[in-house]
Amino acid sequence: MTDIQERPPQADPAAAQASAAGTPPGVVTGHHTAQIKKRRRKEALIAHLFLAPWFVGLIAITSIPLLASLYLSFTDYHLIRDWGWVGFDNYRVMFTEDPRFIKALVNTSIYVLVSVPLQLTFALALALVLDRGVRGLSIYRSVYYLPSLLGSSVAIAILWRKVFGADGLFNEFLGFFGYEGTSWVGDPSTALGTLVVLNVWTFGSPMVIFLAGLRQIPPSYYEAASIDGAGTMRQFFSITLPLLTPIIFFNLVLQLIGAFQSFTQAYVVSGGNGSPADSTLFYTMYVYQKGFNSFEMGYASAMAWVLVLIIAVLTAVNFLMSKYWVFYSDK
Amino acid sequence: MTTHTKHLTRRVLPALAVVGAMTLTACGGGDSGGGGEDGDITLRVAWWGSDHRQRITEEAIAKFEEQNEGITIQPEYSTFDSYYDQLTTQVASNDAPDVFAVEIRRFGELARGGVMADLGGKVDTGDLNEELLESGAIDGTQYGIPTGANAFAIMANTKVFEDAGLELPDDTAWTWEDYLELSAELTEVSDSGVYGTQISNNDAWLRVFSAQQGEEFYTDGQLGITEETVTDWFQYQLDQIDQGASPDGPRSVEIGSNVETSLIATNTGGMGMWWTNQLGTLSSGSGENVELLRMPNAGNGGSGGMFLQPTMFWSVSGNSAQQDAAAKLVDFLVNDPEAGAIQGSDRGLPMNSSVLDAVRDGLPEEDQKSLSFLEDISDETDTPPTALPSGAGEIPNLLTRYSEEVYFGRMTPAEAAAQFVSEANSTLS
Amino acid sequence: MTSNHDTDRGGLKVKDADRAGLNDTAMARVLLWFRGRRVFTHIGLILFGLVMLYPLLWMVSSSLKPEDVIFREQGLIPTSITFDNFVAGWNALRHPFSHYMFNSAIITAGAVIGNLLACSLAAYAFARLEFPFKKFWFAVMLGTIMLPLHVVLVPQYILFSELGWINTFYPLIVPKFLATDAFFIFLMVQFIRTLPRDLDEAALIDGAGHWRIFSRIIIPLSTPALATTAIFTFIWTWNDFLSQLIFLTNPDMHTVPVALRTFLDSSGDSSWGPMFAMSVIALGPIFGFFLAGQKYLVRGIATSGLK
Repeated sequence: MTDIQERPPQADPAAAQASAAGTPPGVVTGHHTAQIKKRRRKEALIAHLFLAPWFVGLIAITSIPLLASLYLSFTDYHLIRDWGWVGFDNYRVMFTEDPRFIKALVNTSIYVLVSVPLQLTFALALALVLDRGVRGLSIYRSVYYLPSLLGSSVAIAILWRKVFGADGLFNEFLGFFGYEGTSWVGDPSTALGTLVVLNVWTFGSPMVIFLAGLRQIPPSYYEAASIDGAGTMRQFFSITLPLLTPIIFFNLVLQLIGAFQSFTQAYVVSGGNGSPADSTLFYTMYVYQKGFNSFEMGYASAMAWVLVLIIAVLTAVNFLMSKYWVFYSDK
Repeated sequence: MTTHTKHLTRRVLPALAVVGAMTLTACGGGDSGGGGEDGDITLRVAWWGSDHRQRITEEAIAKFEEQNEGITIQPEYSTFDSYYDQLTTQVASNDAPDVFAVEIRRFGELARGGVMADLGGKVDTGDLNEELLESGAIDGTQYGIPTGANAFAIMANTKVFEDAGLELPDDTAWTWEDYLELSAELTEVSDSGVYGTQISNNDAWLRVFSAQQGEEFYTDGQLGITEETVTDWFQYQLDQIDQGASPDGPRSVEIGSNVETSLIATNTGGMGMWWTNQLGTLSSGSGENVELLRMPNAGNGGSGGMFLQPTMFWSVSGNSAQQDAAAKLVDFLVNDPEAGAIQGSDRGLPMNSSVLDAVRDGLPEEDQKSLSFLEDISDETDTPPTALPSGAGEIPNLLTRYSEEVYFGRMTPAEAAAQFVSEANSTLS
Repeated sequence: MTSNHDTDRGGLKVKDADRAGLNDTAMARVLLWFRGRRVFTHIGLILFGLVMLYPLLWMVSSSLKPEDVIFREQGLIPTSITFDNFVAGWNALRHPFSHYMFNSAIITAGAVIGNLLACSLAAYAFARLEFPFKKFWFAVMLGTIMLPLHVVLVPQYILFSELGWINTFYPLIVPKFLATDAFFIFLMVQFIRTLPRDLDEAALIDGAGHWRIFSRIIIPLSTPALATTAIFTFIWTWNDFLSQLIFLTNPDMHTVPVALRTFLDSSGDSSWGPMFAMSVIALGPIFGFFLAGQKYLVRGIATSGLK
C-alpha cells in the first residue's frame, strides 16, 4: 500500500474546479487555535446541512411512532378495549409469567447464532469465488441472487413443503443413500433448521454487498503487492481481508439485527402460528401475535423494546470489538 | 374530535399527540371521513377474500350504486391473513370503514369494544333464519347481520373408498370408534401414501365433540368445556396417529389445514373434516366425487352436536357518520334477490328464505349438495353459536399448539388439556 | 452485461500473464493446476446454481399447469402447458395487473431516488465530517432500525392519517427522502470509510469544499455502494407487503404484493394458478433492475483506477 501517488491525479480535476470556484484555501496553514475552532464550527455546520434531511425525518417521522410505542409499553394498550398505565407490569410478566416469551427468545437466539455465521460464510465464500474473475460472473451472480428475490413471496410456503416435506426433494435425495426422512417442516425438532436453511439460501444480499466491497478495493494495491512478490494467499490476507473488514462488519451488524427481527419467512412457512408446537415461534412473530391477534399492543410494544435493548447491547459489543479487527482506510 | 386531535398535533410534543389521539380513540366517538351531506355520500366497505369474492361483491355493489344515486362505495379488501391487521389498525386509529365483514371468532370482541353500530330496525331481518340472526346479537343488540351459514362435517373422497374396495359408512349411526376403525382400515388396504383420514384440530370439531357430552363451548365468558372432554379430544387425535388412521405427527403438521393441499383434494386421503363451503374446492382439487357425511356421535344417545355456523357478519362502524346509508347497503347485500344471485354461496349458503328461493337453481352442483345436506340435518342441529367471548379469536391457535404438543409426545393429552383450559380462561374475558 | 465478463476475463488474463512472466516453470505448473481446478469450480458453481434456480423453475412450471392439477401433479415438468393462468391472472382483479405494477413502480422509483439522495448525504456526514455528538447521533441512527415494525404501525397510521396521507403514496415515498432507511446510511458509511482519505484531503488542500468533495469524489467512487442501495431499495420496496397493505387500503392504490395476495383465501377459494403466474410476471421488473444495476457493481475505483 505504498502507491498513494497514483490517485491524486484522478482527484485533481475536482480539486482544480474547486479552487477555481473560489472556495477559501489555507486549511493547513491554520496554526492558531481560533482558526481551528472556526474551522471545526464550520465543519459541524456543514455536517448538519448534510444531515438535515435525516434530522427532519428523525423528528417528524421516525421518532413519533417510536416514542409512542415506548410510552405504550408501560400501558396495557389494547387495540379494542380501554387501557391505562401499568408501569413495568408488561416487562415483569414477560420474564416471569410468559413461557412463550422465553420460548420465542430461545428460538430466535438459536436461529441467529446458527444462521448468521452460516449465511455470511456462504456469502463471503461465493463472493470471493465469483470475484476471482470467473467467466460468466454476472450470470452466476444473478442466479444466486434469485432466491433473495423470492424470499418473502407467499409461494415460499408451498415451495418449502415441496423441498422439506415428507415427500419432498430433500427426502428424495436422502433416499439415494437409503435414508428415509420424515417431514422436516412438520417435526418440531427440525422445523427451525429448515428456516435456518431458508435464511442461508437467501444469502444473495450479503453476497452482493461483499462483491461491491471487493470491487471497491483499488486494484493498484494488488498490482503493487504482486510486484513485491506476494502470492494469492498473502494478497488475500494482507489486502483483501483487511480492506473488506468494514463490509464484513457491516454485514455482521445488519444480519444480526435482521435475524433477530426475522419475521416474514417464518410467518409464511409456519402459517403465522409458529407451528409445529411453537418450534418456529420467532420473537417478532410473537410480538405480532400479541399485537394483532390478541390486540394486546401494549404488551407487544414492551416486548419490542426488550428486543431493541437486546439488539442494542449486541450491536454495541460488536462496535467495541470492531476496534480490534476492523480496518478503515480513512484512518 | 378530529380538529381537537389535530390541534394537539400542532401544539404539544408530537409524540404525545399521537398518544393523545390514541387515548381519544380508545374512548370512542368522533366521525370518520366521508361526505356527510345528503346526496353525496361515500361509504367505505371492507371485506376479506379472494379475487373471486372481490369480483362478485363489486358487482353486487355496482347494482346498489345504480339503485341508490348519490351513494358511492369505496371498497377495501385484503386477504384473510392480513384483514384484521388492516381493520384493527383502522379501528385503533379511529378510522374504521363504514361497513365491514367480520367472522364470529372476532365478532364478540369488536362488538363489545364499542366498535359497531346497532343495526336493529335498520336492516330488514324478516326473511333471515332466526336462530342464525341471534348469533349476531349481544344482549339484544343486533351488531351484525349473518351473511349465510356453513356446517362442519365429514367429507369423503369416493374414489379412495372405491380403490380400497370399501363402502361409504352409514352416517346416521356411526360413532367416533367407527370413524377411527374405518380410517385405520382405509389406510391399511389402500396404496402406501394414501390414508384413511387427516387430523383436524379445528375448534368447530371440539364444539361438536363437547356438545355430544352436553357441554357448551363457552359459558359466561369462560370456557364451558371440561378438562376431561378436552383430554378425550386430544387423546382421540393421538389415537388417529397411533393407529395409522392418519399420517404421523410431522406429516399431519405439514399437511396443516390448507384445503387445496389436503389429503382429499390430492386423492391421498379418504376422509376429513371440513366446512360445507369447502366442498367445491375439495371436489375440483381432487377431480373426484366428494360426499358429505354427518359427524360421528359419542354413542351416548345425546345430541349429534352439529350446528349451523354463521359464515360471517356484515357490521356497521359505530363511528360512521353515515350509518343509515351503511345499513341500507347491508340490507341490500343480505336481502336483495339480485344481490343474492350475484353472490351465490360465496359468503355461506344463503339463510334468507326469499334470497334462497331466488338463487337455489343457479347455485353450482356442490353448493346444492351442501344445501340439501344442511336441510337433511336441520332437525338434528344445535342452535348456532352466539357471539363468542372477547379473546375467543385466539382459541383456535391454542388448540393447534396444544394438539401439536400432544402429537409429538411432549405432553400427554391430560397435561395438554389442563394447560389449554387454564391458558384459554386467562385469554378469555 | 457481456462487456462485463469481457472486462473480467481481460483483467484476469493480464494478471495471469504477469504472474507467469514473473516466475518460471513452477508458476506455470501452478497455473495449469489452477486452470484444471477452474473446471471444477464451474461444475460446482453450476450445480449450486441449479439448487438456487429450483424455486424459480418450480414457480414457472406451476404457473403453466392447469389450476386444478397444481397440487395433484408432483413433477417439475408440466404434463400439459396452458397460459390460462396468465390470462386469468392479468384480468382477475379490479384493474389489469399492469395497474398494480404501475403503482409499485411509482413507489419504488420514489423510494430509490429518495434513498440515494438522502442516505448518501447523511452517510457523508457520518463518514467524513466531525461534529458534536456524532457518536450519539450515529447510535440513534442505528437504533431506529432496531424496533420491529409491527408495534409502530398503529402510531404510524395515526400520524399519516393526521397528515391526510392514507391512500396516497406519500407514506411510502416521503420518508425515504428523509433518510429514514438507516440501513442504507450505515451501508454507505461503511463503504465511504473504505475509501482512502488522502483523496479528499488532497482536494481539501486544493481548496475544494465538502459539497464538491462529496459530489465529485465520494459519489463517483461509491458507485458500487450506490448501486447496492438502489438494487436493495428497489427489491425491498417492490416486495414490501405490510406497510403497503396498511397505508393503501383503496384498491385503486393497491400494489403488486397486495394484489398478489388477493388471489389467496385461507378458507379455500384461492386462485393459486393466477397467483403463480402473476408472481412470475412481478419478478420481471426486480430481476431486470438487478441485472441492470449489477453492471455498476463492477465500477467504482476498480475501473476508474485503470483508466
